[in-house]
Amino acid sequence: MGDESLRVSRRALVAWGAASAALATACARAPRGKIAPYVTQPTAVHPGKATFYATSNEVDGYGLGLLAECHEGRPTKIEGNPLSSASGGASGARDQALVASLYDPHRARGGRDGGGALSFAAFAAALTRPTERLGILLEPTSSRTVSALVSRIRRELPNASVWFDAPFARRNAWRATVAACGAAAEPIIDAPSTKMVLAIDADMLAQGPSALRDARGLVARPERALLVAIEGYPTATGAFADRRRAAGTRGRALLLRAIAGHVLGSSSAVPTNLRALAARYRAESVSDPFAERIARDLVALRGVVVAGDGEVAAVHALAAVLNAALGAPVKLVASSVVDAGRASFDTNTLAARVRERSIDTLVVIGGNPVYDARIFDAAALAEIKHTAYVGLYENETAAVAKTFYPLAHPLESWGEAASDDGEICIRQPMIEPLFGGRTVAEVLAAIAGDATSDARALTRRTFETMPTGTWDDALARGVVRANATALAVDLECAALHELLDAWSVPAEHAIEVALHASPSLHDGRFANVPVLQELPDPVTKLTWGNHALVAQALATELSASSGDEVVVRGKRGAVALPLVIDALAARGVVAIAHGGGRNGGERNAHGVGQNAFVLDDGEPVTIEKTGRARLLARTQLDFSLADRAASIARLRLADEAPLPPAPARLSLYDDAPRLVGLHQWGMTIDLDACTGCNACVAACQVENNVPTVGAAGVIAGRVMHWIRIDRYATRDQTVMQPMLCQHCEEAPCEYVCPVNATVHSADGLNEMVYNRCVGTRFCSNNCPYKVRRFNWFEYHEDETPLEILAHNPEVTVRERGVMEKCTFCVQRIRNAEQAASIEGRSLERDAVVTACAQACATRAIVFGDLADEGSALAARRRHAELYAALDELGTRPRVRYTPKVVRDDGAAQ
Amino acid sequence: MQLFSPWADSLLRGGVACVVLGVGGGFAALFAGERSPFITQANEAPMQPVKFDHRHHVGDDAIPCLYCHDGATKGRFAGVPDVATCMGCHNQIWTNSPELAPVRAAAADNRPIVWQRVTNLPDHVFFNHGVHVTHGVACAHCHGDVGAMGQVHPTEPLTMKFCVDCHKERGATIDCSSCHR
Repeated sequence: MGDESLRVSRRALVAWGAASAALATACARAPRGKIAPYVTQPTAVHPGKATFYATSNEVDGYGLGLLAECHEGRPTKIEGNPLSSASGGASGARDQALVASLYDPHRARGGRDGGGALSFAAFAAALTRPTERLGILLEPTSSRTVSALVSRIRRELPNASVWFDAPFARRNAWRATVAACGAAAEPIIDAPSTKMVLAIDADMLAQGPSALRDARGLVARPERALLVAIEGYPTATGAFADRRRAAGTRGRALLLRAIAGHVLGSSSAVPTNLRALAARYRAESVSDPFAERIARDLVALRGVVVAGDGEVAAVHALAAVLNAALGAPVKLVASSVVDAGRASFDTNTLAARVRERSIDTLVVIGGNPVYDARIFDAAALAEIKHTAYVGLYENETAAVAKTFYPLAHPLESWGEAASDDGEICIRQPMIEPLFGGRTVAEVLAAIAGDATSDARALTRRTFETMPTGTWDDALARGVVRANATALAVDLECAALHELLDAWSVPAEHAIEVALHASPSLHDGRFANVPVLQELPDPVTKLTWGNHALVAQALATELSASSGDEVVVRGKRGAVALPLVIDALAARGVVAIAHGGGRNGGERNAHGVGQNAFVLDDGEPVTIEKTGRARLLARTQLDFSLADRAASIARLRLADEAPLPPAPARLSLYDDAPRLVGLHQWGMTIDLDACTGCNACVAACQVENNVPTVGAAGVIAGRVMHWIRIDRYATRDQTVMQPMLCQHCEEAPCEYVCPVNATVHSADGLNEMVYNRCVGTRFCSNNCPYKVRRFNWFEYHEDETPLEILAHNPEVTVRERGVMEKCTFCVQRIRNAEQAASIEGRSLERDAVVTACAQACATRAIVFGDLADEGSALAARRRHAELYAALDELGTRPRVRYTPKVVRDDGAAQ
Repeated sequence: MQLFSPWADSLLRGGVACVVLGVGGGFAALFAGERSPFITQANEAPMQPVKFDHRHHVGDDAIPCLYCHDGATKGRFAGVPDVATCMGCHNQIWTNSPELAPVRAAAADNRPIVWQRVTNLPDHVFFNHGVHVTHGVACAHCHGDVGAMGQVHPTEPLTMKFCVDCHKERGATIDCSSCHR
């Protein structure tokens, strides 16, 4: 075969193959497109160039500063606002889904009165009859505009009453701080100086208003804080913690009493009556070396105690007392949430009034009180003369409301909200309301008799009352610093003692239920966003729906295994859910996430999970098998590392010797890959910083137009995530390992592609050329990391024109039959390179950030240029324990990992 | 017993030749067809909503390309000018021209003019005007001498070969992900 003339070049072969394909399809003329330029092009808009605007979102009353990437006036991607103290430039998975929820085709399209269309003027007019007794139910908010309007309504409409409610409003925390320091307050951890945190049933690194700030402050630093978790259900925070104990409400109470007993008993700073209480607590608790060690560490490291929002007020009060006694680096600042800790959050009174029919008109703005069923049910609401609902969707509450008007989406709204530390986050709209929605402030203004005020004017008016800066500057920056009032815990205070004294050890239950916010769907409000439904739970890796999570012992008692359907029955109701066994679940506890069982206008969520609001958190439940079995839509089936602990997810204890680098590999080939590009792209992932919070997964999905496949697709193993977070259990610890295309220099996928659809670029990227790919899937078969994803179906086929607006125009929307995988956000690399080239300069250091690295709060993911010795990546690559996953295969991956270093022996699981 | 007649061999050879030529010719026709002006729509001027004449604006008035297509040095799209750019001159000159009626109407109604796309790249190609224009690729290299055209039509097929040949010649990147991502 030495004859050169006989050799057919690969290109020629492909050309012949392509011709045969062309035969089958026949040539066609490309349709002519159309171009519709602006009538007057806005000066800030350059077609084809993304523009970033500062905006914000508010969940449960807490604002978060964000940036929205807009293409020709439509938002396509959310990032954190680097100037915002709460986000620090990072963002959570749910923030990433804002764009998808904006273009959600199931959103309410307009106002209605029974069946007929209703204008906002007519909707508002029906609410402003002064003689009627008006009830207004709002979601918790920290908007000063809303606050002012609420005051005005209370002042000018004596027949009106205003209430606030959300399933995860921080009522208990506020009650505790009202008792301890006289006003509702938010604990703000001075994270960079914190050496230890004790999280009590708190998913503090992944959920809640301070999660991003705490995650960055506690973890993204050279020596991260010692993290101890005591929790009722497995959370990302608990799995990440150095020391963890899973326990039900009684177990947690006993542990906390033992810890408090030790800490307060030995502290001279606490008053005598508290010390007496501590002695009592200690007597009531059980002797537990785990608690003793925590107490010792808390004292030695001045650790911060954080109580989860689901814990009773006394636990919050005790956390505040412990922090004060320890002199922990945490301060309490006055809550910016309107009416925090006040009676208007006591919705039982509202429910009673509804029952007594002492309300003629009830206006519900936002939230979904019929679905979460804690205040009143649909029947009670139907009794009221007039119920009006303002919401994003025609949901369960809208179904019983007599009149409805759509609420403006956050990306369509003017407004402001304060983050938990009091910083004001300005919200400006990225797009006109798609369906004519109005903001909460506009609806309230209309009720107050001011139907003409728009949200911009209202927000502007609020801004005028703020201390500093110009309006334009505030809009550009997105955040306005405001000094929140610092509060101190009064250890002598009687109300505090009363609260702590009245706290008894919860009774022992055979089985209790632990209800919690879903890490992706929260209280169910995000249930219609497929990206969030398909986001695997950080711990169980389950998607699409909620589950009854139990420990092996309980499953054995029931002689059930994962996937068996069980009925969990409480006092008020029952849910039938698939059972899931997990090693991290607490004994005698059934953990169920909220967010399932929606049956409103959110059609993507129909039939997904069950509504767990029919149960009460911590109540005793019975559990029985129904005999049916369900397939679990799970992205990872096995958490064991088998014998590959050293070559996949490495972990060591802090006092052990650093892990040795992999032995030098012998090769028969010329070892230096011929990569000549000016930049050499690479990534490091610090397993010691990855909490598994999923922000990267969601950010990647949104950035790269990655489709969702639905529960059936997940079950069939067709999930499309370009980056996944593998959870591994090793040495009684959990390692979360983000796994994405490793951009191997010796890529196994490239050798086997018959059409050269996956090739290497000069700057070290493993490229995927969709228009060449013929879908043999040889590459995926040959990939040892299993990060290549195949489009089994035309996933984008059924998208409505509205949903198409969410696509990132910088990235191809792949069709059926092609392979895809992480590209290192090549669109961002090329755009940055081209922008630099146009301006005739070299690329700035660390100018390119991938979507995953951008979202990561703990800076676990660092992307950059290996060829630049001064880059952040190069610094990370000098880490002594840097290793490559499956190094023994000789793939020379461009993604490198550093091991997880556990600050403890983790003995007490 | 002779099964085959004397011309059987010739028939076979002829038959094989026909098949080879037929298949080969078919392929050749497809290749030629795919690159033909009919498919690439080169030299074909679509009917535009306004009879805009580049010969007049570029030739007679010497207005530079970038006056209207000012995105060409900045980023991805060269851009088609907004109505305000047209009206910048035409609210002073030719204010009553019937040819300009659609432009005036667009400005009055705040409604964009919908032009027919002349130069079309496949959706999987991400082309950036800026890097090309600022690195010495003249507009005419890809678009032809637009200043001499009454109704604008493409002059080049804009196939991948057209791009890659030039990239190779100038030592520019030929990484796949430069254009496909």
